[in-house]
Amino acid sequence: MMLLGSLIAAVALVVFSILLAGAGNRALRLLRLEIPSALESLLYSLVLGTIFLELAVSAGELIPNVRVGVIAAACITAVVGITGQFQVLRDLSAVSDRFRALPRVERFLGFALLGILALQGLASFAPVTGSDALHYHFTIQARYLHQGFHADWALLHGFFCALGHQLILAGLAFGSDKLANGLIFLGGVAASLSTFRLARQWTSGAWPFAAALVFALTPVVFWQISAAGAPDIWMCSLLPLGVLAILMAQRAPTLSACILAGVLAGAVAGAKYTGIMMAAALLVAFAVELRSVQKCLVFFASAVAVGVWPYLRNWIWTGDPIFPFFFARRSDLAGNLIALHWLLKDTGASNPHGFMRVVRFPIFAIADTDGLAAWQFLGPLILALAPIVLISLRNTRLWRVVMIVWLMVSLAVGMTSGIPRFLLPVLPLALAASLGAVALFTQERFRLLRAVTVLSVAGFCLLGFAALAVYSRPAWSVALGRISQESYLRIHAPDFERSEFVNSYLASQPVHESSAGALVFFRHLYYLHVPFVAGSPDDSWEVSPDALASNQQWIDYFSRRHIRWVVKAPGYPVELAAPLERLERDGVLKPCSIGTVQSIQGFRINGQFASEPIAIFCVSQ
Amino acid sequence: MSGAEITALIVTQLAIADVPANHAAECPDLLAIEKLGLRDDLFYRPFAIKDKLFRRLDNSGKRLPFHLVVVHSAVHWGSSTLKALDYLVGSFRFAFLFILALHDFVHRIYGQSGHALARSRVEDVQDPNKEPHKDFHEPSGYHSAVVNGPEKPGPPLSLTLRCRHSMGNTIASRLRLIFNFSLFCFPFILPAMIKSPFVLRAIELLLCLWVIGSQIWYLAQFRPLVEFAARRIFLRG
Repeated sequence: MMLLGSLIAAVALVVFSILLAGAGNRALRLLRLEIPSALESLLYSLVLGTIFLELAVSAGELIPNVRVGVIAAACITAVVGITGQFQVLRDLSAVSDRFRALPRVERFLGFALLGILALQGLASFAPVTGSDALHYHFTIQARYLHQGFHADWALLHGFFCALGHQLILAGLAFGSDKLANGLIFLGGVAASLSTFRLARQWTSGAWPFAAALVFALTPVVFWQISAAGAPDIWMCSLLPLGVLAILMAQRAPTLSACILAGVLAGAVAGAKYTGIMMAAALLVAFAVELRSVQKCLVFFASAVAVGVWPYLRNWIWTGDPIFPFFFARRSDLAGNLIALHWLLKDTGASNPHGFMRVVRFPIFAIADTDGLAAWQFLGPLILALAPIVLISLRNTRLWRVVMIVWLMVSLAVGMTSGIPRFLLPVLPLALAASLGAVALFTQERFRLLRAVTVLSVAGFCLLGFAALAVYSRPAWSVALGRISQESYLRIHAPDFERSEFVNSYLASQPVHESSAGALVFFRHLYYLHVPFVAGSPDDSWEVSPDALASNQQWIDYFSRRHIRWVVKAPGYPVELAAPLERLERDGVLKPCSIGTVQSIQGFRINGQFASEPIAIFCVSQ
Repeated sequence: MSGAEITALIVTQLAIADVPANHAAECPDLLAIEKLGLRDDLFYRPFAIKDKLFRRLDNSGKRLPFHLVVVHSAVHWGSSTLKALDYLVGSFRFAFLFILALHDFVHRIYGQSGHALARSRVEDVQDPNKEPHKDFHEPSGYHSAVVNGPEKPGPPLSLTLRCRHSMGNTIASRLRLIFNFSLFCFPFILPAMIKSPFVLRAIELLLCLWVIGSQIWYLAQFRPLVEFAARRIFLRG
């Protein structure tokens, strides 16, 4: 059954991709842009189609029945996509012909890249297990579908959701988290091919394929493409395509290419807060190269038109377009400041940003102190090839644009968040430039250096593939139906058994209590299929230890939020333990169901489990 | 001022003036310098502007790359330097500029204080074809010469040489020291300019060591993760 589901999802994803590319191609034709490379044209088409879908879904989610609105938005995109099919199929045919004409080595590398992407695609059809995805990427979208589009102050991370999350919403609206994951995977495909295309600006032959392979096999990348359930990977295609669009705008005399570059920059800005810095870097590069106020204004207006929507939503809901950064500075705050503190810490805004740490960001020479942070392993190749890039720098358009974006973004990430993972969108640029530089620098001399670099790249790819195989093997197994979805989730999805316990108990309750919900304190909420209120003091603006000190305050809160049950698994959060245990002693909370569940201990990667008690307390009326 | 210094100045000014390469290659002023026999100058040696520098740029149709001109005006290490220019490091351009500025400045002052710019010499330079010069003026404290190329299609090449009188020998000698020091530093700052196979091999080995060493350093930062992955991959543990 699972295998059939994966096959259906794969077919649906292929059809959806072609329709998205068709919609994007329609936009390209409206702009009257002539793109000489069929692959580049396809990439622009796919990305523009996806942006179109994101914007359509942003409009669709505003109607009262979110599911209907989102499906209608997807259908409109599909209809527009049908009108652009002819050119898309012609581009596909041209790419296929070009690929067949390649020399044997390049064809082999091309097949290797396609094979790796196919394996990652298969892994993406496994059920969602990414920690942040279960916490808010998927959870918030599922709540919009069930409860309507609203500000969820019980889950502050929900305000981080942006344009990319509309793809998840679209997939879930069709009832398929496979499709949602597949649309994220599509971003990985576009990013890999964009890396290839950007590297081709420096050199041809095997090197661009090597750049794309290194990108696809970087642990952070294959985690983001296949398992993380976060749409950030789309930024990795938007940024290099933005660079290519700026180069095209420099060549083309019309404003169309400026609009294209602006749209891509806006999509980056709308994808995540850090995307604003990336869009700013693209604007600076654009201004440096084109030196035209009119064109800069066109670029800026296009970017704002596309990327403003998530910020407008946050502004309406919270008064702060880039919540919580300005919100946290307000002096009249009356809510859970602990949650605000953790939210800022999660963005890295409250992290230290020492000079020596920041200057290591452009060469990706950053690691967490515990050394176990696989989600920050961007690979050593950028650092290793940095001197060659430095030597190979030339005062050309390509180098200027790439270096402006690369340096500005990486330094800005270092100075503002300090989280190495946020460098991911720059990785395609850095890889393309590094390998392009090596290819040129060692073209006629330095054979030993070339050999060492080739060995390093090959070694990285081999080890990356081995890591991919080890990491994704369980996901492949479940996608192919060799293990059941439940047994896979029990091992790989944090808090899955807790969710199941709560689901089974609440599902057995009388129908008249269907509107009542459970107050839960654990982090991973996506697999809760019953009404719930997130109560973690780390993430809920409402659950403030100061405001919920007395029994009466808790009773009022339960009444206000229709909370009928409180889940203790295995204990209460430290900040709330005293008042909640007092409620137990005073008989306000009475145990209704007690059990034991297996729970993941520490990082999932360690595979350590322990039995933990779980209890559901009924709130006395 | 020696002929080579004039050469250096002219080429530097050429670079600063951002003259298109193809136009500069045809410019008779540069040929004129050769005709004047400056080739025998101590600094000049086998350095031939037209043949070596512009030959490579004749077909480009692009503007003369700034750094190439800077190098050619600042370095007098013979023709073998020219090929090594391919290795020119973009990030070293600031170092080039600094040294060139120093070089230029010292030579202007040193040349002025030591030898004084002879009017006839300048006239020779600016007008090798015995045409009357178009502009020559001498403001207080400065000798200036504006050299205009003969009437030809394309933008005119206009070069200005300025030498300050008022600098004393003390400052000049100090600056000469700085200049010598900068010359001493030159090979260290710009090793890539030297074509010597030994140096190139050394650079290559250094880069190889960096490529390998930096990867080891990086993986060492993720040692627990790497060990964990290795156990899972190789030992299936």
